[in-house]
Amino acid sequence: MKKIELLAPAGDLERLKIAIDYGADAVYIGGPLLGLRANAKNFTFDEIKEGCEYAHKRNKKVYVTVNIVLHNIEVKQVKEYLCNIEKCKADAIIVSDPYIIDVAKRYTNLEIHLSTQQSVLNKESVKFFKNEGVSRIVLARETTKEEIKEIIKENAVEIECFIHGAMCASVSGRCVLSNYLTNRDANRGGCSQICRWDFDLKNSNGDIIKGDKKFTFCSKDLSMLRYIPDMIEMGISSLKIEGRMRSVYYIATVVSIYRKVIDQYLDDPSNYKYDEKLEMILRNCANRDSKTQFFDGTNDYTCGYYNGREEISNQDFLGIVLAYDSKTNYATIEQRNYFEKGDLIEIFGPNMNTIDYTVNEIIGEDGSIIDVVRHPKQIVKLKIDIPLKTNCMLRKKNNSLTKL
Amino acid sequence: MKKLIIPNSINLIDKTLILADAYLIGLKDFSVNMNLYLTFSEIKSLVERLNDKKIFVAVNKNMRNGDLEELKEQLQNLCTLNIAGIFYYDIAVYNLCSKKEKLVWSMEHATTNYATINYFNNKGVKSVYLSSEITLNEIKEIKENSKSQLFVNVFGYLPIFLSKRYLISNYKNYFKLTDNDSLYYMEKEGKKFPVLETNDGTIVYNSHILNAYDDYEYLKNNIDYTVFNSFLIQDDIFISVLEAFDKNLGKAKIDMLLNYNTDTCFMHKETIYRVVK
Repeated sequence: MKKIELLAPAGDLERLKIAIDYGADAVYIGGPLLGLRANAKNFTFDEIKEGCEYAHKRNKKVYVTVNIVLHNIEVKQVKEYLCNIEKCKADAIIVSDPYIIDVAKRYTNLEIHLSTQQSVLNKESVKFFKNEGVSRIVLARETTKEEIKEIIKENAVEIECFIHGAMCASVSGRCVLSNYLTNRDANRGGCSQICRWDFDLKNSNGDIIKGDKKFTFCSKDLSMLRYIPDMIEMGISSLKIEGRMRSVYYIATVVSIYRKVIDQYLDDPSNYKYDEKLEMILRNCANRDSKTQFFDGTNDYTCGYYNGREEISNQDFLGIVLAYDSKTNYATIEQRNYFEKGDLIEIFGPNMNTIDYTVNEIIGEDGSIIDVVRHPKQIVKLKIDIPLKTNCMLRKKNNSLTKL
Repeated sequence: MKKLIIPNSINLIDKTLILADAYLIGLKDFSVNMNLYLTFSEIKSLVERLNDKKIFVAVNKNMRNGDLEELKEQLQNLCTLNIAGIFYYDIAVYNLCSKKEKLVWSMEHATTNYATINYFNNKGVKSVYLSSEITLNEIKEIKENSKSQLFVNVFGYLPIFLSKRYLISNYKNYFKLTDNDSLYYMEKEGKKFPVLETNDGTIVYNSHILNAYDDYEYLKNNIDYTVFNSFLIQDDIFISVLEAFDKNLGKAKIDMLLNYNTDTCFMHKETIYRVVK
């Protein structure tokens, strides 16, 4: 069966390494210019280079987003910028503006992927961009399963589809609410997510139309976990997770779960069974409800998020392993949420089975024995008899969840 | 310079014949963000009747596979008419249209720089409908650096959001609300944004009406088409606005006609690219 790529977001080097370690085949990142996350930390050229070296050593890939809608002022930056990205050994660029495709072809050998900002929904548009030299197209999130199948059948070009994360309420590229309400440019990386605001809704007589909550465009997240076998069978080349501004814990959890499902299916398609409990871990991690959205043709009120902003700070993530001493069996942990002696937790990480662990002895930075770990980024040591790799993570044990 | 109107009715076309040079009409089932959607045969009749006016047709929705066959046929038919041009958003229209010189690149918020305009010009697309989210200085720079024919919005409510979702219906269905209007407003901090649900999804318009009167002198002397959108404007007021532009009656006069619900939008205001923290 055709190998399918799991593509993860990475907001910085730490998250790039986490995504790769936890099972991503490729990551996409933003560089110093011309990306759609102008307010994210983004990568310097040195960091892109380091990220590419890290990825390539592990036979993984790095794609750099250059998906801004260009204004005049940026036109002259494009050539030099793309050449610099190529020098960093990036595997591809993700672009939206056709002029950038043109420059990339003329002055670099970079592979070119077309961003979902172009909202490609049909096989004729795919044909155009393929002829322009684009090797992969990220389809619009509004594309249905049948449309994707038809596009793949009729075009020999790689197709990438979103499988998880936040959804725009609009057709990508056709929303400038952010520009008009906050003066932040939606198509140049400044989107202020007006679709998550609430509004009074009035009819043309001025009467307020109001349910229990105010009107909003807010959409539930996308989650395609259940459809991964279908997507593999359809011949999709790459499965993309949204969220360059998400946390390391989110990246590790989402990547590892999709990795597991992809591998389980590819190992033995005829005996593959969907595991509802994995879906629960995903829901717990994001703290937002999710749907398959347009893929199965659903476009009704069940896709909307009408009960206000329900996201709460995720407190499942307890800490990350910084080091492990195999002589003493002590793991050095950096705290992310409160935990204490006696807590039952899970430890998960790259290429390992999840293990249960009851917190017993906790040693503080000064060597003293302590009972609680309450300070953000507090460094402690835990005695854990199973060897752990750097970047393994500790999370609350939820008895209803399965082991990864 | 020619004055192009996006009319909301045939009636308005007839009432503005002496004030307008051109009209932009939607093609039924293939257009969005227009005010008047006509079938091919209705467009044909209109083109034949208004043979001294330039009629442009918008074929500017995001196309699905299922649209392509009919789209190809519609484009072939449109190219047999004496229309002035076809506004397109989806690149499928470019691929399927045999007369590239008829096309107007109309990718709404993405027509923002001269290099991409020249890219399409080199592919035979000789006209572009510029984004309303760029400044007058950027428009001037585009004019200086491209050979394409330019269309610029100078008046009207601007569409600022388009979704394939039925956002009003979904909200009403979720909370089991029975109101059944054709036009809604979403309000925030005293600003009212018109919201329209169509068969193809949901459109939101800006709360304020673009009034670029103060820049009209430059625009009419340098831009090929200035665009006046009649959406939600009463016919008599719209005609008065056109006259005010024609007769140099001043911005204040137009603002007054529209109860001062006007704005120059981004003509002289750059959007923030990166938030300074």
